[in-house]
Amino acid sequence: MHSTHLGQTTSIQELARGADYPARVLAAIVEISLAKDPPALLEGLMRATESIGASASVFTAAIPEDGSRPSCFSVFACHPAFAHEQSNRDALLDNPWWHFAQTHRKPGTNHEMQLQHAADAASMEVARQYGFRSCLVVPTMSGTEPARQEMLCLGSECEDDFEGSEARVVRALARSLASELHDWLTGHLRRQLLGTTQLRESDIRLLAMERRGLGTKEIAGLTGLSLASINSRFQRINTYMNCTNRKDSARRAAAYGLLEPL
Amino acid sequence: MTELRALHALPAPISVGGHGESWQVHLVNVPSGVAAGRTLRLSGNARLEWWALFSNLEQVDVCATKDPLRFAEPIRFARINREFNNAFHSSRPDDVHTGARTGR
Repeated sequence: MHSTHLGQTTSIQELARGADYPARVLAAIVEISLAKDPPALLEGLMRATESIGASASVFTAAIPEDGSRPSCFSVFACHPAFAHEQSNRDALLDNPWWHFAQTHRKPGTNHEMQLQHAADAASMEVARQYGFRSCLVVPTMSGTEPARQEMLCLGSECEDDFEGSEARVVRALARSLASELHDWLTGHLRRQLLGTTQLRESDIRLLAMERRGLGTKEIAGLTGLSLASINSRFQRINTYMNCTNRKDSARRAAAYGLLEPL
Repeated sequence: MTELRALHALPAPISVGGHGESWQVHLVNVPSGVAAGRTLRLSGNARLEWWALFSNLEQVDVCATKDPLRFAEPIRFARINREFNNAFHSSRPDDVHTGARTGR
């Protein structure tokens, strides 16, 4: 067995019986929002995972792009060798955890994962070696379309550590952690896209109108811009967004949280 | 409440072209070790980015044996390992290395 960063000395269930357990875990979870960049997020996830009493955790997000293949963003709060094992997109998005997250709204444990192929069992076995002997998968999904899909997986060295009545507290806290990670990622993606595309507020308003399905004439009526000016603005936006048409640009902007109110 | 932030950055931006794909590695010192981020640019706007925390050089060695770059990009792979060494042996908190941290 590989030693993990987070040397788990006791079961989560035992820790969760402590009166101050929820408060301690929440204190670590609220710090997630303060992370300035991915390294700080990783550090924050590591602390939150440790405070929960888990031995490892992984947060993965699939961000829809203009084509059929999504972008992926992952943070591994576990032994880095597991990150290497999982570091291609197929491994990240083709395993029992991710399949569960795609098809469920509520968190589930390893007992609820469906192992359909030999590769699924192998994937779970590798995870066991890196601190995920038992695990809790928390799916999250953005409310906007196209939906960004995300998953937090917490691991424990103890069998069945996420089962039973004590696990209710842990599940609630894990959901809270997943939500904080989701919010952080929304802000990060938004900043990242704004940084690389140099879009202006007026461009974002145009993209929002396109996303609502408004045509050029309707946009002209709302903004007072000429039809030619609107088409020209969208051409420039498409170049910035590296998309071939305004529909794809608006989809990408939505997926990156750019059209959500701050 | 302690603000989470990297203490100092030791950027190792490495880009490799070829076949329309490129990757970059970023190493950043954080209080509990070295955060390593790898970004792989795929077709279109798609990209793959993942971050992992290395607590010591032993973990770097373990991962090196699994890293496909070891044979595919041996020179740049060696450079990444050198940067890891630098990161773990850099003890001064104000030891800031300048350079662009791209891909963020």
